[in-house]
Amino acid sequence: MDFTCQDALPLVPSYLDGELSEVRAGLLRKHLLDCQACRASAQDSKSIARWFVQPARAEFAAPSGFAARVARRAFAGDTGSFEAARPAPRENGRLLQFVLSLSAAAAAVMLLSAIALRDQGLPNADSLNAANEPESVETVLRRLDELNRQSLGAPETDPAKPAAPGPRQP
Amino acid sequence: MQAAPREDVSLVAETLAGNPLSFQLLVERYQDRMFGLVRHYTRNPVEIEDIVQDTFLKAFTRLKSFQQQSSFYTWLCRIAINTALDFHKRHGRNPVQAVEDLELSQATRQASHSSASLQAPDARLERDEIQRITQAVLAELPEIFRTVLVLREFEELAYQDMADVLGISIGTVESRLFRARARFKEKLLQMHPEFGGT
Repeated sequence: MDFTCQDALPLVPSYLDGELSEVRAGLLRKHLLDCQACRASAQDSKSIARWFVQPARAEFAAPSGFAARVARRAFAGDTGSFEAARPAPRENGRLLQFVLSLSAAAAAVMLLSAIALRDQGLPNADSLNAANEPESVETVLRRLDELNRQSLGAPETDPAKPAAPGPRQP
Repeated sequence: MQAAPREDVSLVAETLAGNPLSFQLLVERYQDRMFGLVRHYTRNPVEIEDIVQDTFLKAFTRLKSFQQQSSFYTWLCRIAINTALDFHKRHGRNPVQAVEDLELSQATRQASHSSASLQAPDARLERDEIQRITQAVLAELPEIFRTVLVLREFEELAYQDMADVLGISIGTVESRLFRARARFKEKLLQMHPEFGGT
């Protein structure tokens, strides 16, 4: 079975970490002897590893009294839930409160207006119903014709019959 | 003659029996390493302390579930990493996530073979400067890659321990670490082309 660059490359870091089984390490060593590109890749892996420098322990030492404080809190029943680090209420919480107050004020104004209108005898919901249907167009026209005739003193005729042609009024 | 340090399992048993001093000794034993681990997830000293404290408090509440199949330290690492990620989520920060897709894997593999090589840090560079550059590059990596690099390169965990901490197989540790190193190199060269070889 051929051991290709594609097989070899992923094994290089594990080989350098000393985590490869002897069988796979043997195959890789053999491949590295023959393959310049993979040897370069191995060299690259070594270079990468040198970028990870251990910082001095003092750089991230726990503050004094930390362990005693944690033990005390643990035995006091603190389960650890970032209470201290919880963020302050957000700005949109205040905005919501303002909008709710404004809505309550508007509702109160509307209620007071309704009461005032009723006391002044203005039409209210009970009187503004659709029980009195409006007159039809024909009825209105008939009434208008009647009024016209009364004002001109003309005899009443049936509006359905066409009027007889007569001399034109000047 | 100085007394030999007590085993972690003894301290765990004594803590479970109600001895606060034993738990304090466990915290003292691992607190510096926890601070060192968590600093890879946030640079804010107050946040680091909050996360480490929370890690130990969670460990205390789950102490009964510690199976002793892995070491107490790797068990603690697992809690610390989850606590750090949870902390970021609670604060609305989304650590860069990565998907383990084939396309990414192939692209990284090709990059590792064909792109410019990387120089080891120059001997004239100060130790602090190397650390600063490395931390900046790590901060740019997706969380899963950063975590495997931190566990291997700084915490010096064996592959089996990494597999225990992350709850993945050794094969996945190998492939993830391979891709993480390739991404680290790629990002380092992107941020500092002057460290590219010929």
